[in-house]
Amino acid sequence: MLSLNVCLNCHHSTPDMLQGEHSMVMSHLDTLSKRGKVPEKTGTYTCPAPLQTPTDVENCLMQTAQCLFLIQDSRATLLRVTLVMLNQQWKGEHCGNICFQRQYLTTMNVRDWMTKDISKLSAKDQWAWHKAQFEELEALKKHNIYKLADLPPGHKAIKNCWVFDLKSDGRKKACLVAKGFSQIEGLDFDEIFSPVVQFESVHTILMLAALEKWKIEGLDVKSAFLYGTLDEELYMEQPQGFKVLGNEHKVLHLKKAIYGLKQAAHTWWHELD
Amino acid sequence: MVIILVYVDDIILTGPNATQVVSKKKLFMDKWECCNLGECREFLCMRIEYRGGKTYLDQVPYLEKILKHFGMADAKAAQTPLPTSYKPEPFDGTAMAALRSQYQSVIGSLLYLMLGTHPDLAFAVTQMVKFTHIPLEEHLLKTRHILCYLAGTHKYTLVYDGRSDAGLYAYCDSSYGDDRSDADHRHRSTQGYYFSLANASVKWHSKMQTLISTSSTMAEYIALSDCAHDCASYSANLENPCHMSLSMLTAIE
Repeated sequence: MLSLNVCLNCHHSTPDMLQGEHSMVMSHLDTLSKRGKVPEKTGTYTCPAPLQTPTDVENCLMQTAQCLFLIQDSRATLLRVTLVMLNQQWKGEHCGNICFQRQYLTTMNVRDWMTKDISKLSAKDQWAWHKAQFEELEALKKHNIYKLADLPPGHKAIKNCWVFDLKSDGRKKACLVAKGFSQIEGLDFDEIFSPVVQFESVHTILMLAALEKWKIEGLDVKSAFLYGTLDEELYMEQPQGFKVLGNEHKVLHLKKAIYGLKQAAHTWWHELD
Repeated sequence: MVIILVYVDDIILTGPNATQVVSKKKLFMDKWECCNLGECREFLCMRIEYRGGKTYLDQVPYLEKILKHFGMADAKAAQTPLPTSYKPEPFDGTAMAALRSQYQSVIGSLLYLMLGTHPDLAFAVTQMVKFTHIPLEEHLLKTRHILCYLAGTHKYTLVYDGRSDAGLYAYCDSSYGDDRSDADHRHRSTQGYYFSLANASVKWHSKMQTLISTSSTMAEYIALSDCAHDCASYSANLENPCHMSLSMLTAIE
């Protein structure tokens, strides 16, 4: 039987992406101990260094062999052992023995958006995605979105991540998305109201056009959100994997909105107005 | 005059003067980098087709994708969106997270279809939407019934045939005390209306009445009053910018 070691690393060394899991484990362990049902061999493991990247987590896993997260299944009777690493999940069920199996999460999204861990792909695929990333960065540069700057004291840099999309015609598109959920209202954003057309207006106009034999023209604005000028002073971390050599500690001072910011839609509407 | 509809980055331009529309479009394209779609064939996943002087609006590609996604592509067609005289019962317990997210995803897709091109779903979808926070297996089953109905009717499209002889017609109706989804278990009534202008569907809606009526007549009058309000604001909205006068305004109960 495998001994059950639970990863109880200190708060600061839990990687951001595992924070949620971590607190769930903690609360679950708390409940278990209250019921006197603490797993027999609960080992405590403190990571030697903060875990930042998936590779760190993997290395940590290799060293400890059983660095696990315990969470409760929705059926409440089953214990699930999980370690989430970006797109991958180790999953096992605790029924006396712990078995684990490596499983890839599949995104159910219709448009197939994915946050991929591209470091797991073959060199050729990796290069193709990197090319898409470069294209996105070029577009950002062209629109004069940001400027490299030092982070002034009192400001917090917004984190970002890459989102990869496989278009229906096979094109690869990478999109740099700000983690807008870490923005603070009143400080980082104010107004986020952005009106859109009502369906009844669409129907009415189509009716009118049919009635009067008008021609209907369609337009699609390319990267619309990148046109909105920001009123707030916002800083974002440098994109993952694309830091400027020698200036790694610097941040990007955002001048225009990028995808993921709370006010992105609002600034675009303002620009259009 | 140029009429412009904007949905974030999707834009439709139209107007009586074609050259004016094109020059306005040019202005847009000069200011922002745009993709010129020419004559508009798609807007918000709604397909627009022009055949024989008529405009057809449907969501067939989206609907087919949705049916496939939920595994209902080959479902046996149902005759009605919901079984006849089905009254969903509320549920007080805590819902399973997995069921809830599944339910929300189905409801989201159905809502979009209902708002876009399916007035026939208005009642069924608004009935089921009330349980989005605490769905039961039973409710999910009934949304599948709606999908079955869609499987049978997925080729239905809205037709804008440009027949100008018909003015604005509003149809409205209400039930009496059939809704038990209220938290205090009060019996509320449901109302709905449908507007047709120049022989084309332009606006539809179904909702639970906020007032509690004491007779079916009262419920009907509440529905009629709401309908008349919306009719008035709708025609006022049309008249101001489009200089269209609506001489014929008929309300049918």
